[in-house]
Amino acid sequence: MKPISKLCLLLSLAIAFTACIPEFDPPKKRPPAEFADEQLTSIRSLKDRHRGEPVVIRDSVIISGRVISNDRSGNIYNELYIQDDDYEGIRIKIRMSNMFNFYRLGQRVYINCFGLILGNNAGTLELGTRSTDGRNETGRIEGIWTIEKTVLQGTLEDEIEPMVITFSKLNRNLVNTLVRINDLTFKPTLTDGDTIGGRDNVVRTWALPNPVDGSNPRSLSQLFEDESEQTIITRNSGYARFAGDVIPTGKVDLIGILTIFNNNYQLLLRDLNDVIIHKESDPDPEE
Amino acid sequence: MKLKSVLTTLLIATCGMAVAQQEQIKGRVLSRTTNLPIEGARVQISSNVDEHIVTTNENGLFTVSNLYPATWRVWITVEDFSDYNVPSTLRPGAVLDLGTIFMFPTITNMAIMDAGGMEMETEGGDQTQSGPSLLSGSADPFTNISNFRFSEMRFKARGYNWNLQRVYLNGLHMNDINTGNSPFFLWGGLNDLMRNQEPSMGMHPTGYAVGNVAGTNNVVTRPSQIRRGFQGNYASSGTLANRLSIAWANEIAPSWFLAVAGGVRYSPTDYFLNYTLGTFQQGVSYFLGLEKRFGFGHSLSITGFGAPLARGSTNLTTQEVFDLLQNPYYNPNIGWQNGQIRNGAVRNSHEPVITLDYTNRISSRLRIQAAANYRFGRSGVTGIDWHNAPDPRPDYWRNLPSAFTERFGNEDPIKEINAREAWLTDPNVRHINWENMYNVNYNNRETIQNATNNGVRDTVITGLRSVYAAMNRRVDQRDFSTGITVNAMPTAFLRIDGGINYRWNRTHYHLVMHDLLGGDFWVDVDQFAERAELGEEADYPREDQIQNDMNNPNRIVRVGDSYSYNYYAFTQRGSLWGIGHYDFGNIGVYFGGDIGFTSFHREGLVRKGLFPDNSYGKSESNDFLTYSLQAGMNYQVWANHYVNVNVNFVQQAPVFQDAYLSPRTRNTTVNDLKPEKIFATDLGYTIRLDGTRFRIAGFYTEIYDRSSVRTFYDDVKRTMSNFALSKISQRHMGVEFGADVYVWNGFTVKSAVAYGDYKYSSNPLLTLTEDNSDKLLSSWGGFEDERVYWKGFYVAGTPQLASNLGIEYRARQNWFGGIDLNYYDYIFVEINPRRRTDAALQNLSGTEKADMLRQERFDGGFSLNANIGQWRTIMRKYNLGIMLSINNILNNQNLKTGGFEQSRMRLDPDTNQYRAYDSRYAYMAGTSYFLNVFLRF
Repeated sequence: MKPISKLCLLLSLAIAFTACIPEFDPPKKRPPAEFADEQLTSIRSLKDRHRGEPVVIRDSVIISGRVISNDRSGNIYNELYIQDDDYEGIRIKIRMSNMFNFYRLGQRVYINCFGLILGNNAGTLELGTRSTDGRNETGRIEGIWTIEKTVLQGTLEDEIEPMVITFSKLNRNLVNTLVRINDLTFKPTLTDGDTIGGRDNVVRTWALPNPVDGSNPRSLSQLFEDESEQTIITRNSGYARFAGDVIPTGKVDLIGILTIFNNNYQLLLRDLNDVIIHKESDPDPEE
Repeated sequence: MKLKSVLTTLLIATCGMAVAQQEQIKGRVLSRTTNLPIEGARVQISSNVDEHIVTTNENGLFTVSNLYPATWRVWITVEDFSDYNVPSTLRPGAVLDLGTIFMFPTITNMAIMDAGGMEMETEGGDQTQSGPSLLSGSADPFTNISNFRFSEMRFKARGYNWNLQRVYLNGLHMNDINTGNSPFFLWGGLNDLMRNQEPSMGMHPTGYAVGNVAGTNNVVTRPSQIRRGFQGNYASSGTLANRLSIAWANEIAPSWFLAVAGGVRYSPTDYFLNYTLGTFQQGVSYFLGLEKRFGFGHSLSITGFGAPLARGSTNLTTQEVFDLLQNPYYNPNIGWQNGQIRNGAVRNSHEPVITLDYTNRISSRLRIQAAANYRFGRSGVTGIDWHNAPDPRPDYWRNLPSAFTERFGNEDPIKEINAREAWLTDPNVRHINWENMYNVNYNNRETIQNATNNGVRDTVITGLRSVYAAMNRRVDQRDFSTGITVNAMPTAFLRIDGGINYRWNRTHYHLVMHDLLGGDFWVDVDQFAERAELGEEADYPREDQIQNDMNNPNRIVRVGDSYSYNYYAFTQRGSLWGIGHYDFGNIGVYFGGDIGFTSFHREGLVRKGLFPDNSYGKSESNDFLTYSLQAGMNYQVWANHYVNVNVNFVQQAPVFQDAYLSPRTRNTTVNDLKPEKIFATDLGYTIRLDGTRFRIAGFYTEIYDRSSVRTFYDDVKRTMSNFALSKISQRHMGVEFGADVYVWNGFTVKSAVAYGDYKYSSNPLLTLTEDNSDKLLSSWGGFEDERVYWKGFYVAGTPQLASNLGIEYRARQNWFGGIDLNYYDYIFVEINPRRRTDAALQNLSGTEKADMLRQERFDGGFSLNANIGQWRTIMRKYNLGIMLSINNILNNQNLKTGGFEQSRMRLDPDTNQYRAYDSRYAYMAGTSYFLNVFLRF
């Protein structure tokens, strides 16, 4: 082979191997966290510690539950709800966007409560950090370095089935757990300050993503009632993806996390899959 | 037809002029240090048409005959000596005796050039810095220093952006057509073959092009003009641990010339002498050129070269991070994976060039040159992409201790302390956590309904869907240019140069999936559109709005597939130019210009869900008339003293990237797009004496009707946003000084000073857009054509004072050394136009307003450099040399080379006031070395 051809071959080999972006072997999958029962404290006994004012957890307390919240739709934000096998639930305040990537529905998680504050937010018990805003009893757990020591990811498991309840069964013990109430109908009551044809415009969407006055997206507490006109609020964020969707007018079953605000029960939807429309109902909105 | 008759006329004129040409130029070449004659010095005497090359005899004498009255350039080159390059006027019937010409030995120029070139490969942050255009010494004592030594501070001559300095390859304009950046990196590592350069004297036009406000340079790659023989070069520096290049050129058969070269560069990711961790380099370079000579000045050559390279980059970051880590060279792009450093922002490119050159010296009065260049290949930068997942960047503002201070309304001293400790102790906090991203993907089993998989719509696919991935932002160009240049000397002292050229470019901008980070696939939907608060205007399903490619909804993306954005930018340019020079007595004048057009348009290759009618297919064509007018004069006041003045007026088109509001998503252009206008003038005084070169110049330039579009990721709004500015005006003026004085016994004193005042001279208009919305920026309350109050603020990107003073010594035994001290000052931060608008200043108190408006000026500082070296000739044939230079001997790590104010801003909901984020900076590297070893024979 002429020296030129040899050089060309060598160069083409060299080019093929260099000037490529280096490749790396994928790291091993992280094993899920696991704790023996003896190491765990029940959510109930943790919640019982709250006697009217915020409690600092100064001992080694680890609670366990399965994830029932999902912030993917944006309706839930900076909050994680877990529920254990005894139908006890608790909310944990964490600042992390899109945390559903780390804590999936049904996944078992362990909360290392040492140093956390147990507080009461208008009737709902929650875990967080020391509050600095003077309004809430707890603040958000923030910083990945703190979060990953506090919330430990366990095994992936199936999603929890909601407990079917009726209005008569509503009680504070069910707060922070996943429930389902059947046979509800949307009751439009809220106005948005706008008028149409001389009458106040009633809001028929879940929330207000684009308020008429140009302000930031606004949350709404939309009412649902059953046949005996008992009502429950769905608390919906203006930042949820479904915020601008029209609420179905026919009969629906609602799944959600039961929360309480002062004395009003609220349902917190994860996304529109939590709204089960009855087939016989008319899906089109009436005018 | 017309061209033919013009050429015929010129031919007749030249034949008529071919009378007795007994004019001669002669001289004697001696070495300054030894006072001995130099044998074999290459002497080239050239006009714009002709060149004569002779070598000196054993007495250092040369004589060139058969010339004719004209101004001839006398260019003497001796290896390892500074070039002698001076115009000399030859009168009719005269013999011009140049007398004794002293040559001054130097290796340092070449080695410092290489060092400067290598340093420029390291860029900071989003702003790509391309290298200097000049890679060979010139006769100008100012540019010799400013182009190389000042590059340590990213100095830009006269404050201009790189796009104003034009680089040509074989007479064809090679700057990047979309950005204007210098094409220097295309031949990185091939410096030895690119030394045949024709730099302009500042704004003065040359034989290959019209003059340009920031100067021009032409690189000629004809193999016959490359140094014959073998050259081998090994270089090493902190940023590039190993660079080896080998070149060989010779006449391989009668009238056939071959030049061939190859090179390798490699710098490991954790090189202990590299201040910045993770900035590895690996690449090769290659060059092959062949030329056939048909006669004197008649040749055809074809050359191909390329320099494929992968290079890990770094980014500018905030002072808080530098202080926290006590490290001004922190690299936010790296993280550890399986114990190895992995860089998430790797520049990768392979852009070969093929160039064809035909030169025909038809007579001693007329020369025609034609060339064609083709540049192709691919280039890109990798990055991390994420879909509905937390931001993985370590210096994301929420990840820093300052997130827990009063500034961001979230004051908590304990959290601040925890953050600080985490940064100092946990590498996964202060660097990219690759393992975390893989694990998120491992756990993300999803089923996608209505997916498009391998071109088939409505399929169902289940697997691990990546929410974190590594992508490659690709810019793949096909650039073809061709042109003809005519150089004529119709009469003595009248010289006409002109030509016509055409350039066509298609640039493919697209995102390519590079690494799924443990997942099986990625789904091509727009996460920003998924979150957008779309109002009643949306009359088509959300499912369609979130598509990046409506023709293939929910497209499954695997490694190597394009996704997200995908479009072509087509640009065409053509121009006709001509310059006439006339020399009479001591005065030379020139006048000329060019006229042409630039035309570009966008062609979208995917239909974007949010802009279904305005994204797919061709946009309207944007056409601009371009022209320039220039004139100047060169006056020899008395022997060796010259005064020159230049005036230039240019109208040029904006580049593609400055014309479209959001080219990734739609065809919309900036409102009222106008061509850019430049008016420039300079006045200079030069002394060229035996052993002394001195130049001082003053300049004044006005730029107006500039447009610019800048894109940034707004992590407050969590979307890509764009600034479009129009009616930008700038005023640059200043003084340049350069001196090169041989003092005594081998000592030379050199100095250069650039002192400028570069400011914005108008208040431009700002339009802010988001990639995920047609709305012209929501919560700002109308952000279209908002006035930016930045008149009088400084143009950033270069120190406005750069000064140098140095001493060089050449000993008799071929030892040399030098030391130089530099001082830089008036370095300003690049300002965020948004901060100087009424919207941003509302509700602010007096001091808050002043803070928001103020443009930060960085501290000035010194750098001290020294070099030493030796070369020797072995067995009368082999030249071996070595040079070591130490830069920043004072280890000044406090000198900011640049910085910018962050584009995004935060609205405090309680006070309704806007807050700025911390600016980002880069620092000059501490004490570092550059080693160069060469062998030639």
